[in-house]
Amino acid sequence: MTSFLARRLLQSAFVLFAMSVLVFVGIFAIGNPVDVLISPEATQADRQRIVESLGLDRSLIEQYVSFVRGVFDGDFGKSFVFKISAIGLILDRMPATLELAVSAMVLSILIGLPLGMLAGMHPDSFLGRSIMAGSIVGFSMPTFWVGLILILVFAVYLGWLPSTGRGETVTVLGIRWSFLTLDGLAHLILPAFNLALFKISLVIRLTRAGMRDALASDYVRYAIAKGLYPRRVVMVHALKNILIPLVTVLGLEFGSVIAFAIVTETIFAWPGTGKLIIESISVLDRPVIVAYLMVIVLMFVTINLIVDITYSILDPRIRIGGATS
Amino acid sequence: MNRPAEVKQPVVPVERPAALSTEARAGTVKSAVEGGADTPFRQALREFVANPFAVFGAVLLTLLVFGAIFAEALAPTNPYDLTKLDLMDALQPPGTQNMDGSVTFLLGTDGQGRDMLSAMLYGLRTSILVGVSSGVIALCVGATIGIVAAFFGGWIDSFVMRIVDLQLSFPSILVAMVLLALLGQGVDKIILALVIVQWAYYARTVRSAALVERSKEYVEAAICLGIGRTPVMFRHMLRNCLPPLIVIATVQVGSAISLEATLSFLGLGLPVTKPSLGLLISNGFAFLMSGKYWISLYPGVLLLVTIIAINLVGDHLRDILNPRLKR
Repeated sequence: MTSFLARRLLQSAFVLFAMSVLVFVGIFAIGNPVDVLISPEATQADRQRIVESLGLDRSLIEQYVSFVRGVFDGDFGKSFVFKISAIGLILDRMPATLELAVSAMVLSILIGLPLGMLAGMHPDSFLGRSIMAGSIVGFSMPTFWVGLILILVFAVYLGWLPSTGRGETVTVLGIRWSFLTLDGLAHLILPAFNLALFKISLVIRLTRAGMRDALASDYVRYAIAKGLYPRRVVMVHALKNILIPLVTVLGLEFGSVIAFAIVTETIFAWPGTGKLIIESISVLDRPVIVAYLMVIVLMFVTINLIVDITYSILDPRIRIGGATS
Repeated sequence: MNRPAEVKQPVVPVERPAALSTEARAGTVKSAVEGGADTPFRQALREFVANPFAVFGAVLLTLLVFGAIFAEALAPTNPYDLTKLDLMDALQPPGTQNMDGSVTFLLGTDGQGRDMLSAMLYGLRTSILVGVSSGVIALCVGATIGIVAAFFGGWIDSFVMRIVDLQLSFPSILVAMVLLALLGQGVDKIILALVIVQWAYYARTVRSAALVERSKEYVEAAICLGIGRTPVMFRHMLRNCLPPLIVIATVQVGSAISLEATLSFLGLGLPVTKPSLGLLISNGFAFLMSGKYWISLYPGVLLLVTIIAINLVGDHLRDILNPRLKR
């Protein structure tokens, strides 16, 4: 286990380093932020002074080195636009995004797992076929369009739910949360469901495939033959084996939920990191873009690491196979 | 796409080995699919036709492609002819009647008095053009890289697969967004971004199929006969990797169209002068709150129908071409 952990940690560190170089060089290639930030009337001396104060006159390597030095001090540079710490700006917006993403994941499991199990247990029934047809539609619908339709139906026509912002928030542990107030929950439902829809379809398909495999397997037949209640066989024996691929995929998908939150946040005016990055890209606010991407990369690497470790605990063959090879 | 042509293909004499007879036409997926008059293809076609959903999807897809190609002839008006636009026509609800009771704008007009039906047909063309061309280029790039990795193995293989794994661990929308932020707007730019996003899927698929083929005797035999590496890879092995490649290509074109629409909606994709369905939906977003639903709704329905049609076809192709399900 130790060597497995060490190897994975080393890999993760390398990915982080490689991505930081890629992101930095990539962002460096984007048009000149000075043109966006400085008014055309500014004198040459003014321009020169601002360029120097932002450190844009130094070479790419010098800028990268000072960036990495800053990162180890927890400093990703100051936002060109907001004039405050870029990482602070992102961490300030992060709870809103995480709240949305976690709600979406919870929704996708609450809705997807039972439906997928039903479809797996009765694959040829009308119900099973309808669930699968529904999941194809769910896969096909572009997130942003579903968001528009949700707003149109529930906010514009029915007027049941609000369509913009986070609503009333409560401060717990120094962070503002929406899901603890009734108004906040009402604001959360539409965006969370919008973000969850694609994952619901995914969970349905994975669960159904896993259930069909499990029900056809020897251990399930043996358990039934032994006289265990079918209910217990499905809920304990089969479900456990279904959960392994589900944990992996959902863990990996959490990152993509954060990424797709960019779309949902834009539609529902949810004040999270996604909205921030879209705004930052349009004004070429380099420190914020770099900091956002690095936070996302770190998150992905961590998620991959956690999934791998969880996986190796759930299925010892992975760990042993990794250690001997 | 071009379904009737499949039937008209001349039947290749059976006594010739299939590998040789179809060789001349190998290279693109389309010709390989249509040209293979041998039994596996016919069998697949028969299975495909047996499924009503798949046939429905295929017919729908054919109609949509037809509509997109002949948009000029089919559209009631040219939505981008600025001289024909009249602001008096702006924001007409669908089916608004003229003085004499006739209907000019079947699906209403947008904020500039543009006929929505016409704009949608033109938009569909842009969407399909971007989706298909990025898919085809990504397929060529990805398949080449994948098969080379599988053929040579060793450090080339592990190097390529590391990059593929790294890229696939990031969601495509994020990668595409960053790329478009770097590249700027334009049809060529978005196609490039989509190719970079998609090639890894093809590379991974082709590599895993090619690894199986690599260890088979016919590859060994071909190498022993002194046939060069390139023909062995691209004439012999690639053909046997086609089934999973066809499935992934169908699915990827659908997701490319969806991704392009999403990026355009965020204002990152296409320029305003060449709106795809995504940009049309985005334009309608501003009017949505005041209940003028048609500007966003109908392009969205068209987009959805297109993607569902592609997914229906892709889903059943996967069932047919997946040997694991045939046990």
